[in-house]
Amino acid sequence: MALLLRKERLDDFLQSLDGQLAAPVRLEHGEVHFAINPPVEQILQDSDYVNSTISPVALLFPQTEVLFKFKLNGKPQIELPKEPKPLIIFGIRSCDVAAMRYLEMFFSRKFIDTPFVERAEKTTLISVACQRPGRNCFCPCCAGGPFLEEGHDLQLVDFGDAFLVEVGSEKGMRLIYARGQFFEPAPYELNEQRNKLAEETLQKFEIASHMGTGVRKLTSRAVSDELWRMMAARCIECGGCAFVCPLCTCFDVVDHSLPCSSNGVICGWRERCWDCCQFAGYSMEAAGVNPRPDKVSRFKRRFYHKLSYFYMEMDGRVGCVGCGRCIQVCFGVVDMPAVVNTLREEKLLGARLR
Amino acid sequence: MVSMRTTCGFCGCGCGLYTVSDDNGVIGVIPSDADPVNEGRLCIRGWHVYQPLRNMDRIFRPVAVLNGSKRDVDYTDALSRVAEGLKKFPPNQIGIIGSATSTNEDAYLIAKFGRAVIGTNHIDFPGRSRLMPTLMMLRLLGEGVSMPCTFADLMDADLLLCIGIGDPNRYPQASARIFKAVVEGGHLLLIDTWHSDFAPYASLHISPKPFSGALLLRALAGILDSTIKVPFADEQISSITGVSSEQLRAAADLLLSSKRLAAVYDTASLMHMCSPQCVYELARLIKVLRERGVEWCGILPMVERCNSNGALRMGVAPMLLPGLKSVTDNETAQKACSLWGIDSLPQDVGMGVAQMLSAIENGELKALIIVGDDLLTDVPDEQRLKKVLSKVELLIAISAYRSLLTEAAHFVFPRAIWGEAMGTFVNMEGRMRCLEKVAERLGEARQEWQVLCDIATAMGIKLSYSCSDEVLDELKRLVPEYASIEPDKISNSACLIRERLSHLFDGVMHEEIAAPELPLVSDEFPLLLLVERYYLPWHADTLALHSSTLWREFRLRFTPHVFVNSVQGHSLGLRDGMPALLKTPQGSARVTSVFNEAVPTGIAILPEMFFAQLRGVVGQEKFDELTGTIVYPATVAAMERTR
Ligand code: SF4
Ligand code: SF4
Repeated sequence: MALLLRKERLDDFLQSLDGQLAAPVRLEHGEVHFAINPPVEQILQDSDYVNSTISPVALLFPQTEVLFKFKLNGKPQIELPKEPKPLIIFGIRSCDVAAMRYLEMFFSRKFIDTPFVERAEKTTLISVACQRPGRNCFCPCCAGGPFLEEGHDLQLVDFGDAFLVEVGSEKGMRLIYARGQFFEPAPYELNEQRNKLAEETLQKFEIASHMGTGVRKLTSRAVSDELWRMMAARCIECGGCAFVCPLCTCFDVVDHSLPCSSNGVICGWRERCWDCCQFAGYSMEAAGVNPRPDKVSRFKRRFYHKLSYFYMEMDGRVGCVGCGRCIQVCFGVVDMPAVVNTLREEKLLGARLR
Repeated sequence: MVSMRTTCGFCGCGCGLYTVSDDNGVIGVIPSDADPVNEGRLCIRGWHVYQPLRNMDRIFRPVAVLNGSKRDVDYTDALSRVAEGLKKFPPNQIGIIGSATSTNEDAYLIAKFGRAVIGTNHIDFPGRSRLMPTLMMLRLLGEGVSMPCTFADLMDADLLLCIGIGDPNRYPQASARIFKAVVEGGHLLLIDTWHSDFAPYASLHISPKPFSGALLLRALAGILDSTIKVPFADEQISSITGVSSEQLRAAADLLLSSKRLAAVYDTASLMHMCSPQCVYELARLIKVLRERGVEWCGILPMVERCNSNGALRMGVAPMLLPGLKSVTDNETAQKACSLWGIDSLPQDVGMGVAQMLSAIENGELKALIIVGDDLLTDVPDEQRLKKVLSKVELLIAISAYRSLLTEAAHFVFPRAIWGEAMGTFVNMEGRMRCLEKVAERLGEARQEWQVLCDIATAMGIKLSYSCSDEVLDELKRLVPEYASIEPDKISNSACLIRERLSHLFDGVMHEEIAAPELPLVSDEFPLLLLVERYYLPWHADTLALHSSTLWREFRLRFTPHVFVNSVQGHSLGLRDGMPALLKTPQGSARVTSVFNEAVPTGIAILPEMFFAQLRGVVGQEKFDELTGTIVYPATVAAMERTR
């Protein structure tokens, strides 16, 4: 089913939504962030932005998150965080929708990650299909976009003065049913034009990352140690690639306590924060043994995890949606497409395909 | 969820970022991708710079020693006692040790408080002396040389001359440019004893023997200009530096092929460019290159701490007033007097950190104010530091964390940390950066400018500002070069600080140059053991140690490590990450042998952070009185595997 939402009605539609609204806004110096309940006039429209610095999946899996507060005074008392409020993410890009669906699968696979799952259940994604990919985008190589065929709750396609609205889930359907007044049926030809737009957008990408070749090279172990060493030399172990990657899920858990009060009561909280497999302390085992003590082996392992067939089978996809954020954060041009294309060409310099 | 723009408070790159907060305080950061400094990148420290704000292991309230015991005291009570105490000493018996992590506004107040309130020039911060050779260079160079140049300038150069820059991790944003430049086909001439991760990407890598950098640079200048005296024959140079004449020639040719040259060096490396001689020689080389047709030249001296550059410029130095003006410069002194409402300023050059410590030992300096904990790094000898501090009759510490400094202090004022303080920094490019207050302060923590104003007021000298902007305005009135600086113009030249120095140093280049004196290796002791700053100077940063993630990473390296390369290690029967016995003529100690391919064969490296633990076998460090820096011993050594 396809509907039309006139742009002059968008503001009213957004204001009619229940719960918190997260939407992209541009900051003073030009960065794009997702803000909670921003003034409607500040919300960016399709052609105003490529994507946010950090994926909006961070709204559900933030860099630091308090798991519970505790009070130790005889019997320990635990205080759990408040239940999450409903959240609508407007303006999320296709790659990030694909990432969110992967996280939902990952966080409820063997072990149910309650904080994430509870939030995800209450979150609705209204994505806007991309027609102007950024210079770092390569989602077509990773089944991450630019137009979605599945995964969205609602997907908006910009047609100038109106959005074509595509419903992708029951959640999306419910949202529309309750707000019929904002929508009108879309003329049939728009569907055809939509497909044409999707095709045209594909021509606009500046870089490519041949993920299939990468997977094949890694799975068949056809990559020389020398090449790994040379690539890892350019990694400074900042952790940025994992932190901006919307598919990375690792975290560390720490306890904090306030100074003991005079009556001996200890108050504090437990929190988790993002972690990265590129850090030396990450793979350290309790006994002090580190199975991956050197940077090269950690670097290699990171790409094996994201790209080898073994993990693809387990995770159902390559560990990349093509959002291109690692290109922006990497200190040594050893981001995903740079590495994949180096593997493909089996030589080092000028490895990115432009 | 709220985001606020600020600057990372760890290294001299000064990366722009946004903090993310919710009901639970600051919960993360987002790198600024519009910032010309970091273009969206943050190193491991920047990604975790918010974590210390979540750590409750802090000093919350003023502490005082009263009747022999230490206790929390009321703020105003502490102030009046401190004021009373300070009045008992003549100005030349009082010293102030500042910090390279203070904002410009704080640093300016340290400089002003010392001079206008106390009346002393005994004002310094640890690590300041390592920047002095760089100031000399600034004085020596003429037109057509941009110093410091910006990170963006590195991308515009056709040749990068990188000297003693060590691991790419030390100065991440400079490293990013170096890697990007070579990936895009640029040329790198690397002069570094270390075979670092830059080496495989260099068009030419020259690895001079330790401490022979100055001679090597002189020899290079000698090849390019025959009127420059090189007091050694070619073969001697090769044997002293370990670099062949062919390699030197190739380096000279590479330099001559450049039209736009950017030179990058590390002001904190112990083996290379920290020595004044090295810097003279680099200045000489640059001059020759300009004469030989290099059209543009940029120089980027890399500094370790977030505001070393600012502290120096604000006058936290025994010989400098704000704006890099000499304390003997009458014009500035007069201006300062009228602006600060006093009759005169102390004119004699004061004592630096090293001299202050000696002066305490022999009873000449009796009261000391210490801001922050930089001193812990600069004086790796904990025992000596404890002994010295115990002799101070009035010790006042402004600090966020408990340490041997606050342990020894008679009065402690809690200090606002990164995220609680606001003001500006000057990064290694000379770019003004804004630091925002993004979190509520814990307990009674305040910035040092506020504490110092309060102390002055308690002493009966009115000193007060409504906010840090007001401090900056006063600075702009005092130093005309800074008048048009606009810190929040992140990407245009209005935020770049550029001074020309007309005084301070005579500018004479020293002609004599000697070969370094190093102990000779033997069959019994086949290794030359050297102390070097390795990787991130985390041990230096109490702030970093209060981040849970950075602390975890640091603990990994917490046992004394000695680095050798794997070929050498195997030949000695060592194993990577395993216990080993380190033997020197002075004794032996258990260490962990760690393989590191950056270390040249024949050399073992003891990271500076472990030096204090191994002083007994390595030897005693010395303070170089002339430069005020620590000189670590070099010794011969052997290593063997233990169980
Ligand atoms: S972003 Fe680049 S430099 Fe940073 S950890 Fe990842 S690969 Fe290494
Ligand atoms: S490079 Fe320096 S300023 Fe930038 S994030 Fe790292 S420590 Fe902070």
